[in-house]
Parts: sequence; C-alpha cells; structure tokens
Amino acid sequence: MSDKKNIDRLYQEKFKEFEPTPPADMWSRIEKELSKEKKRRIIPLWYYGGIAAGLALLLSLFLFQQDGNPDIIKDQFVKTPGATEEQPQDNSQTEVVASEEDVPSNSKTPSSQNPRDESQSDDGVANTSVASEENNRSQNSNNVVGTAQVNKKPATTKNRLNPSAKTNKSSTVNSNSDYAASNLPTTSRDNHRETKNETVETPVDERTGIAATTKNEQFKKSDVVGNKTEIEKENQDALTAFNEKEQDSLANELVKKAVALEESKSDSLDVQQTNSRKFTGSTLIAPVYSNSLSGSSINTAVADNATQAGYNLSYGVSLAYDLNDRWSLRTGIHKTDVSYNTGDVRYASSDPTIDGPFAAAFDASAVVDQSSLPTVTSSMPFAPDLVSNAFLGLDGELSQQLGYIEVPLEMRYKLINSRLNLSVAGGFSALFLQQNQVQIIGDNRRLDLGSDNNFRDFNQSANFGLGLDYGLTDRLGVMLEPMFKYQFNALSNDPTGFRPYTIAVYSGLTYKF
Amino acid sequence: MALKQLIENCKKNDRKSQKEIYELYAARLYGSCLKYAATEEDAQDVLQDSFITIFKKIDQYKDKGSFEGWCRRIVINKALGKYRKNKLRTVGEERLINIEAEVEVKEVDDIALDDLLKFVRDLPERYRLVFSLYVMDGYSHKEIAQMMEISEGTSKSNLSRARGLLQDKIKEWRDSNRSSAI
Repeated sequence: MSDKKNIDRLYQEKFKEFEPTPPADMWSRIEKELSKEKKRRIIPLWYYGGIAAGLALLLSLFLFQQDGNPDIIKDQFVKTPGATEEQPQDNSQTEVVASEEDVPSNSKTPSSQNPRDESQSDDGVANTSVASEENNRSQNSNNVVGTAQVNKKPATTKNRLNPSAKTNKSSTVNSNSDYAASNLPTTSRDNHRETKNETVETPVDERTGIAATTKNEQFKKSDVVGNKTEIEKENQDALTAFNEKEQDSLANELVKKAVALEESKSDSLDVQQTNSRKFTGSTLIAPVYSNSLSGSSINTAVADNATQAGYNLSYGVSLAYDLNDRWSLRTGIHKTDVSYNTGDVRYASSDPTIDGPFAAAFDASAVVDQSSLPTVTSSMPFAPDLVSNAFLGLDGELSQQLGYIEVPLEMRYKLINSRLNLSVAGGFSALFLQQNQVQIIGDNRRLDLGSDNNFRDFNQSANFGLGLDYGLTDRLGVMLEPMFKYQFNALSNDPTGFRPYTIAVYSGLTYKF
Repeated sequence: MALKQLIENCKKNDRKSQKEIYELYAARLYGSCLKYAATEEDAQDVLQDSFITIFKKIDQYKDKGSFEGWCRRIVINKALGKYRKNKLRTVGEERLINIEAEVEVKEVDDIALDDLLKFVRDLPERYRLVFSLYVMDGYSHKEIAQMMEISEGTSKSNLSRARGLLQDKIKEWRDSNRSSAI
C-alpha cells in the first residue's frame, strides 16, 4: 500500500510549490489596462455628452427655424378658430389696459403706495430712473419726444410693488415649506433604511479577512487525513504572522458557513457602499434659449411680428435626494435670465407734442407694428437729429429682458443606472421676477424704456428634460441636462396668448454625500 | 519595503508599488489560474483581470487576513466568474457514484507536473473547478455548492467523477510510458 497514494494527495503535493512564471509581458498588459481604466472614465462622458449636446442643438435649431419664419406661425394661429374669434375682443381689452395705464393712480393697485413699499424698491426705482434720465438727456438735446407721460412715472413704478404680488410670494414660501414638511417622513424612513444597510454591510466587510483563515482550517482538515504537516507549514509561511493568530480564534465552523454565504455577494459590496449616499449637491450653469410658442408679450398689434430668440445664462446650485435606486427628488435655486425680442416695431408716443423725458415705465400701448404704419413714416429711420415735432417713434427691435430667481422641484427617474446614468426629469419651477427691463434697439442704438409691469412678479413653469450624469469617482461626477421649461402666468394681462418657454442645457459638477 | 507599506502605496495608486506587489504574487497566483482555467490563454486572462481587480479594490482589503489569501480569493472569483457565464453549458450526465471511496493510483513520482496539470485542464469545466476548489484550495462541498450555485450532492458527484477521470488519465499515461520504455 505504501506505493499507492490517494489522488488528492498526489495533486496536493505536486502543486504545493507550483509557482509557474507568468508570461513576460503580463505586467505591461496589466499596467496598460490600469491606465486605460483611468482614461475610460473620461472618454464616454464626452462621447455621450457630445450626443446629448448635439441633440439639444438640433432641437434648438429646429425650434429656432420655426420661429424665425413668421409666415408659418401666422398660418398656424390664424387657422385656429378660437384665435380668430377672439381677435376683436382682444383689441378691446388692450384698449382698456391702455386707458387704465393712462390714469396716474393705477386702478389695479389702489392701496399699494405706502412708504414701506417704496423703500423696498429703492434699487429698482433708482436703476430705471437713472437709466431713463440718461436717455432723457440725450433725447432732450436732440429735441426728440417720446411717450412723455411724465406723471405716469411714480404710479407705474409703484405698481411693480403691489401688495398682491407680495402675497403671491409669501404663498409660494408656504407651499415650499409644505413640500419640505411632506418630505420629512420620507427622509426619516430612508435614513432608517440606510442604517439597516450599514448593519448588513458590516459582516460583509469582515468576511474578506476571514476568508484566508477559512482556507487555513481547510488545510488543517486535510492534514488529519494524511501526514500533511509540510503543506500546513508551507501554507502558513505564505501567510502573515497575523494570520496565525487568527487561525486559533476562528476555528468556529459556524462563522465559516456565514462567511461562505457572504462570499457570493462580494461583487455587490461596493455597489452597496455607493448606494448609501443619498444626497447629491451640484453646481449648474446653462445657456438659456428663450422664446414663445405663440402670442406676444407686448400687445396684439405686434402679436404676429417676427420674434427672435434670446440667448442668456442660468446658473445656480441644486440638491437631490435619492428616494430609491431609480427615483430622486431635486430642488435648488437658480438665477435665470430670459429675453424676448420682437422685430419690426415702432415705439411711438401717444402724445408726441410733449417735449419731456421718456417715461420710466414701459408703455406697451405705444408699440405698433411698422408694417401697419403709412409707408412714409415707416421708412423714416430713428435718427437722433430729427426735430421734435417730426418724430413719430423709434423703429427697431423691442427687447424685453427679465431676470428670475428660479426654485425648481423635480422628480427624476433613472433609465440607465450605472456609472453613467441616464434619467428623465419632470417638475415645476417657481419663478420670482427680479429684473425687468425693456429696450428698443434700432439703427445701432439702444434705448431703455423702463420695466414692463405686465410681467408678473411670481409665475411658474412646467419642466421636462433629460439628464446624463457620470461618476468620476464614488462621490464626484459631472452632469449634462437639456431641459425644456414651459412658463405659465408670465403676464398679468395676456390678450394674445403669450406662451413663453426656455430650453436650457445645464452642465455642472455633482457631489454625493 | 514592508508589505503593509506596499499595500498602503497601492491604495494611493502608486505604480511602482503595484509592480512590486505583482512581482511578489504573480507566480503563486498564476499557479491558481492554471489550475482553474481550461487553457493557458484563459489562465492569463484570469491573472490579468485578477490583478486589475486587486489594484482597483485594494482599499477594500482591511488587514484582517493574509493579503495573499485575499488575492487568491479574487483569482478564484474571477475563474468562477468565467464559469458562471458559461453555466448554461451542461457537464454531461450526472450520476452519484461511490462518493466517499478513495481513488487510488500507483506511485507516480515519475509523472510530470505539467502532465498532471494537463489532466486537470482536460476535465469538463465543472469537474475541474470542483476538483481544484476541494482538493487544491481546501473548500468544503458546502462552500463549493454556494460558490458555484449547485447542490452539495452535485459537488460531491462532480468530485468523484473528476477523480475517476483523472485516475483513468494517469493510468493511461503510465501504460503508454511503460510500453514506450520497454
């Protein structure tokens, strides 16, 4: 029997010192892969980012082209039966507005003119009056008369600060805190879940350490079968001194079984770790394309005029909370600028004989379509050296520039959940008007016409978009999000069905915590 | 440099330390790869993938066991990963045979390690894995069953089949060698 050996022991003995030399180029292959791993983290981002940016650009171009062709728009809206029926009615409404604005104390905000309001609006008033004074000076020296309703200035400025708008603001704050309150239970629940995750993870962490000792035990076991002291020695030599100590303390079979069970989960270990980070903060910056689907933000007379898209900037920060693997809730605060440009208009004074400065507030009723004017006057350029009585208005493009503080609340759903996430987003934004300026640009000159009171201090938008984000590390990532936002209630008086929207492509850095 | 320091440096992605770790363990781990893989090419792939994983996840090594044991665990996981991908492939008929019987062979000191290795490699995939896990790396049938997502009975029968096949191969080898020697 001595010449016979168990096949197991034959293999164990033969292979106990089996240390074949790997191919010579193995290290260079590994090194190459290691550096490739690093590069690979960046390349796909640009690749996918490029596709998204390309799509966004195509979409913008498509919309831009549509808007750039006034005929198409005109056709579309003329054909709508509702719109044609409303036409006369709309006109009468505008007239009412115009006459209202002629009245110095604005009937819409009868009790708004208290001193506190004025003090709060110092900035806005100062800005517009300085601007208009400068313009006035130049206009006066040129003997040009504009809209010239001087006594309208205080009334309309204060109109901006009407209390009803403030009530709106505070109601938004309330609704926001409602959101916060409704979030509370969810948050605590998720925190709870998180702690649970952690307790599950602890044994998983330990198991890698125990793995080696399990093997030691196994070798021990085989020693009982045969005279394998050599193997045990070899084996222990290969292990550290630390291991030897552990060998004694971990003889427990039960522990071993638990360990073996956990083994199979080893690959999901780091996934669990990253999932425990629920919050994502990000910085955002985006070019904003703003335009309207229909109507005019000025008046019905120029509703069908060509509009030009405005290109502005939005920036801010956002905070997202992961509700689960797929859904997350996001809010933030952005500063978003938009502008609407209407071409081929004339800003004409309703009373050209008054030789005073321009009003600090924009008078929407003074805007008319150039093509509706007699050919003699419409061909007349905006020339600074015209004499006062001959001046009938300013020709050019009317630009309304608005600055909003935007507070979005969006739900996101991840379509692809990996290192590169693709998600769809939908939600609402609360928009608080901060900046409001109307200018007419013609003949290489720019004239400030004050602020347009028709824009509401508070309005909302519905948001839809796609999101791509890519994790550079466990915590740090980059994102790219084309968003479409459709605004409601932009105007307090909206006879033409003004439907503004913005397309913004947000990009930024994200940080998980 | 102490192993602990090398590991710390590897956590900071220090290429020089990574190379030192590679040189320390490459041969030992390559031995494991060859035992588990069907071909030398596969073994090289497993070794390469294993080292990449070792360096990528080295911060998960918590100093609680031997580093070599941890590395070997990764190698085995990688080798089994290949198996899991091919799991749909069948191993042939599975019948329970003399489970605990010791398979004995004649003294084969003359048989070369390369030949023994070749015999293992020529086994059907699952037999090879079970044999290597049980005989060479000392896992129990219960552990093997969990690692390979098979039943304990299957693990036992696979081991027996593997032993039987190896015995045949060794016998065959001896017969041919004896005949050529005469």
